[in-house]
Amino acid sequence: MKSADRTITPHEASSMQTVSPPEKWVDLYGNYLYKYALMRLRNDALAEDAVQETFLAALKAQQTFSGRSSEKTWLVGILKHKIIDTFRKRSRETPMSEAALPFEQEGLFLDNDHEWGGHWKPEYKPTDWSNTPLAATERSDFQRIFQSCFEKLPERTALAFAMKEIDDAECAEICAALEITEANLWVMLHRARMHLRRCLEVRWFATAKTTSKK
Amino acid sequence: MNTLKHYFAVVLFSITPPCKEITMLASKAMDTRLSLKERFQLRTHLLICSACQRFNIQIHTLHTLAHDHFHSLSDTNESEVPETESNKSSHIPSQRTLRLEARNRIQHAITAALHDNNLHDTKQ
Repeated sequence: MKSADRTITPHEASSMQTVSPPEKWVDLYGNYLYKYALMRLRNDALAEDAVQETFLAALKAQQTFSGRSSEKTWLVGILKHKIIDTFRKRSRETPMSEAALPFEQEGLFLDNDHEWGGHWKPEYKPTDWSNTPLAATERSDFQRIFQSCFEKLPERTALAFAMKEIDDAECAEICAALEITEANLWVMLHRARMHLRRCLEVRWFATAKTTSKK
Repeated sequence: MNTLKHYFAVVLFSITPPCKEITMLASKAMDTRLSLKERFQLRTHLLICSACQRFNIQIHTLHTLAHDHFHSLSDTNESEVPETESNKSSHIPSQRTLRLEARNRIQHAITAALHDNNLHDTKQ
């Protein structure tokens, strides 16, 4: 099994449900794992290290690979733990800022002394997005805007959002990983959604409407 | 008729929390099961407030967009992709690939670890 001397595609590897030769791992999974880590850690060097540590941990744990999941899923499972380790280490070393987000709530709602205190300020009411075809969000200019809005999130919030919205992780799992309470998490995710929604609205949906192409 | 509608809305608004709190409930509803009271507040408010209705729809759209942002491109270039100017300067992680230097370093680390394992195996 170790010395398969022909090239194994990821598809074959997953259907065979065996471990492909570790020499091939970087070619087969390197970029995928790197992208996965980069989206969550948002730092080139940290993402690269997490990928390397994942492969080395996988080498040691090769015997424990059950073959029940695909090899890729198995590696991603290891990477997830490496990302959380990296995050925890980093949060101990460097205090993380939870500064206000540029597109966040406070200013969006009327003051409490107003008759309609706590309701949307007219100029900040969510606008109609339906004029902008969602298909356009596949374009790379949208992806670039999404990324730049996402990067404004504080590290912990970004990781919480990625785990919840991209990985569909359970809240309990996220709380344990980030060492926060559920109430903290709900507030964090709410802040992230407020910010991202508004950021995309201002930078994409508002402008794409007037210049609608394609 | 319009005045009646207006009064109806004012009454409903007065018995539900303001939009600011409703946005929190709408978000929380995506993460956990709301209490009966919270569900009542959210639903009643959404009946009369078009701004919060949009907000509620859009945070669900956001979920899809975030999901796609990572997944749409992540499976496209799994195997070796040469480092080009375009992917080097891209700020989109899903379009980024390992730097050549990092790739070689990781490959080297794996080879070294395999070598150590083999030495270890043959000793036994």
